[in-house]
Amino acid sequence: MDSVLEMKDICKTFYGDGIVVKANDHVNFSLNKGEIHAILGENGAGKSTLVNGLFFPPDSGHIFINGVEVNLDNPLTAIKEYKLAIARQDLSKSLIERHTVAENILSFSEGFFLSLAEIERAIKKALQKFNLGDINPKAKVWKLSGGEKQRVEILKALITNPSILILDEPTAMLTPPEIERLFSLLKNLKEEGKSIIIITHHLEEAINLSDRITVLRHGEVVGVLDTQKLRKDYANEKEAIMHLASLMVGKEVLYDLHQDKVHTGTIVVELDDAVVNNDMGDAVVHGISLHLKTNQILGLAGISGNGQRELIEGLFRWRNLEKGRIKIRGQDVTNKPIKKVRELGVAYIPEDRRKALIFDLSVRDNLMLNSYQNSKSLIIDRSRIIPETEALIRRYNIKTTSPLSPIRSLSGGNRQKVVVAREFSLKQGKDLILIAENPTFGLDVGTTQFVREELLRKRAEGAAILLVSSDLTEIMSLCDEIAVIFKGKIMGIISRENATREMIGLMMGGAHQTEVLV
Amino acid sequence: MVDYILMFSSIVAAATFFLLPTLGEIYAERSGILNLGIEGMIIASAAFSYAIAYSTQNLWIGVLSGMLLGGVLSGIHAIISITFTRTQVVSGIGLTILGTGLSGILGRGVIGKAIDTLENVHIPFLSDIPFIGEIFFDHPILVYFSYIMVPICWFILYKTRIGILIRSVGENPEAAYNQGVNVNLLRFACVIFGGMMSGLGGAYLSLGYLNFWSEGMTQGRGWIVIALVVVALWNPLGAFLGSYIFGTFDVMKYYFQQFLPTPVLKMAPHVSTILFLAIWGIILSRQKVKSIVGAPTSLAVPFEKS
Ligand SMILES: Nc1ncnc2c1ncn2[C@@H]1O[C@H](COP(=O)(O)OP(=O)(O)OP(=O)(O)O)[C@@H](O)[C@H]1O
Ligand SMILES: [Mg+2]
Repeated sequence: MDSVLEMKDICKTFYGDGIVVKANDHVNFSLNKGEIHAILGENGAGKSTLVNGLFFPPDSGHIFINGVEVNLDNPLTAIKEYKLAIARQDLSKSLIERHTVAENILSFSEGFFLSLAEIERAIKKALQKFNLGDINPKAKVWKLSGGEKQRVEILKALITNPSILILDEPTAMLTPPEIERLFSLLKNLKEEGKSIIIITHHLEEAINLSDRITVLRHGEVVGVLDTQKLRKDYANEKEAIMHLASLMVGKEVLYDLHQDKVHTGTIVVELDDAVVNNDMGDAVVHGISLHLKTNQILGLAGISGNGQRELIEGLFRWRNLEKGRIKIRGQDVTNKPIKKVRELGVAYIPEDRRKALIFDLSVRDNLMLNSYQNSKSLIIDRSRIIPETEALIRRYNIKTTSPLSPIRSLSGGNRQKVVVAREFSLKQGKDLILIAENPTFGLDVGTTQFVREELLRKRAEGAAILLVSSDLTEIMSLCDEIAVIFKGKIMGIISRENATREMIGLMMGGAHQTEVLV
Repeated sequence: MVDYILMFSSIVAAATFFLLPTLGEIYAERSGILNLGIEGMIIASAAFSYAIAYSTQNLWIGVLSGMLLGGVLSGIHAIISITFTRTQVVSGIGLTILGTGLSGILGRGVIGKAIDTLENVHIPFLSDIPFIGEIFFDHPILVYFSYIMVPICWFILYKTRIGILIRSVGENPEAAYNQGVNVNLLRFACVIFGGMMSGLGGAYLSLGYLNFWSEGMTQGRGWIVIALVVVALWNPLGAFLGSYIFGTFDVMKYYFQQFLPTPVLKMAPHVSTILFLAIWGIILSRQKVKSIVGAPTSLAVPFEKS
């Protein structure tokens, strides 16, 4: 088969004070025509760096398109001349928050004048054609949910009608039905002869969707697999996943999560009849009540954009409650300052990392954001804090050139690890109340496993955990109770023993608990 | 008895001096480059255009020279801050110092020398409207130019492809670059446009408004332009409104001389600037408002290709 894209001997090195990271170390990669090629690897393995090498020149290496060596030195040549398109992982470098969806999709416009109305119409048409769901082209990007942003990013790539489409973790924030629709779209595109590169941490996606898989580890290729053969060689999907995972990490990683039986304890968070507005001032949370107990993981399942974000932000005092009250450990904290809420031991892992990290500060400084205030004197007690942050970097295996490198320089998954590390260590045992929004989003299999274990361990130690997730597998394997949210209302709260995936799925689509429990 | 027509007409004259550079700086800042060198560019251009007009006896060559000098000076800022990604604040302040020094040299020969300056141009029909005509349409042509530049600048910024690109580059240069936009070229163009508008403002000051050259004649009003951009919310229409408000403060000092001591009046434009900025700052600091109208997200942040 002829390859449309060939990358040979690609090297890319990043330098951080004294330490050198070889993000790509003599990587060879080839993409056949009409193929879906998955790239797998741990966080920081160099996947994003590799595909970005098609838009910014790597340090060294050769790139061939249709057999001809090309010089892709800026995005414009790649997009216009060679018909490449990419949906990036780091949306903060790709979407302009303050602009509308239409203004973000610049590739549409040509000539001097510009009819936004026309672009908006074209976007609506394209959304329909690609079956990407409903997004208002007039909406400002900052008002969109994570999943919606991701769909805009995918649309932005698709709309240029590329012959090589690259998707860097496109499914991280999508719901199962959205993922299904995306995959059937990708299969159609493949039928049309397009070639697709997809980067993902969901190994089953790679196994079910791709034709070939390239696995990267520490910047080097450790294997190129034929997916069909892989499916044949292993008895079931699970074993194939295990094989891939151990190839990625270099050792056995996946095993079943073990959830100890723990009796849930006392109520620590009481949310009563909360009404919260979105940024446009419309109520999107309509009188939700939730109780969170120690030794408990309460899951909040729902398709993104159903009021989860506003509910959590209201709970965490990021926005005002229009109605209702919040009590934490018996204290009324309704519309009290965020500092007070934090002092009661509320840790928060937001869906959007930018809400939790200061990108230009170092990894160390970001890790100290919770603890620097505990210093006794005016001066931050660095001699005590530095060892703590070092320990966190080791424990959570944060891959960074140095603790002093800015967050900006970390790979997506490692940024997430910084947030998780800091928030998990806010308080110990029963003192910890954890609100986690899609905490494993963007993490590789090994780290995902690790974070999930940590969640269970924290639960066993007595923490009260609210887990907001659109990943049903995560919800089903971790939670004691599952609340399902739909259009700003709770459709019901079911204990895990009584819940099935189908029930939760139906409730996420708007069925009430009473309709699904038979 | 105050001559109201004269008063309003001089407000227009004063406001134009603010309006021209503000429109230019709005473009520069929209593209993400803060140029604190406005004051320097204005004063150097004021001296240069007056000197050139004096020696060539041609006013328009004078005006064009002023624009050109503004463009060249801002080009220095552009090279430092865009090509070499250095701190924009330092480079801008340096430009002001440079421009002020330059103005002394360029204008040395023409201090106190008089020339015929830009004439008021009569526009048939418009100038004949009572009141309005006398207030708005009895001015040098540069004033009319400022009128039409307001809607043109607004239209380009919001309704054309290049306008969206300029705004994108100021919001998130990386995102724009990833879509194939030439970030540096756009920023260069905007900064130089800003410099030329400042130069035009300077030429207007010495050749169309005050009609002489003397050292330090801007009285620091170039700095007010920087505040005006904020007050205008980076919008050309806002620039129009803001310039006229500040123009009013500027002119009022002549009319209140009988009621208030001169030093207080001289302070008025500057104090009102601070007050305005403070009030604006409080309004704009609300997160929600910021997401809608605040400063361009990447203002003054150098862009380095990764
Ligand atoms: N701009 C940068 N400066 C310094 N180091 C960088 C930079 N970008 C990436 N790196 C480093 O290069 C390595 C590879 O990063 P890359 O983003 O390619 O990882 P990835 O495989 O995409 O991981 P993830 O799954 O977390 O997205 C990481 O160790 C990262 O810290
Ligand atoms: Mg990546």
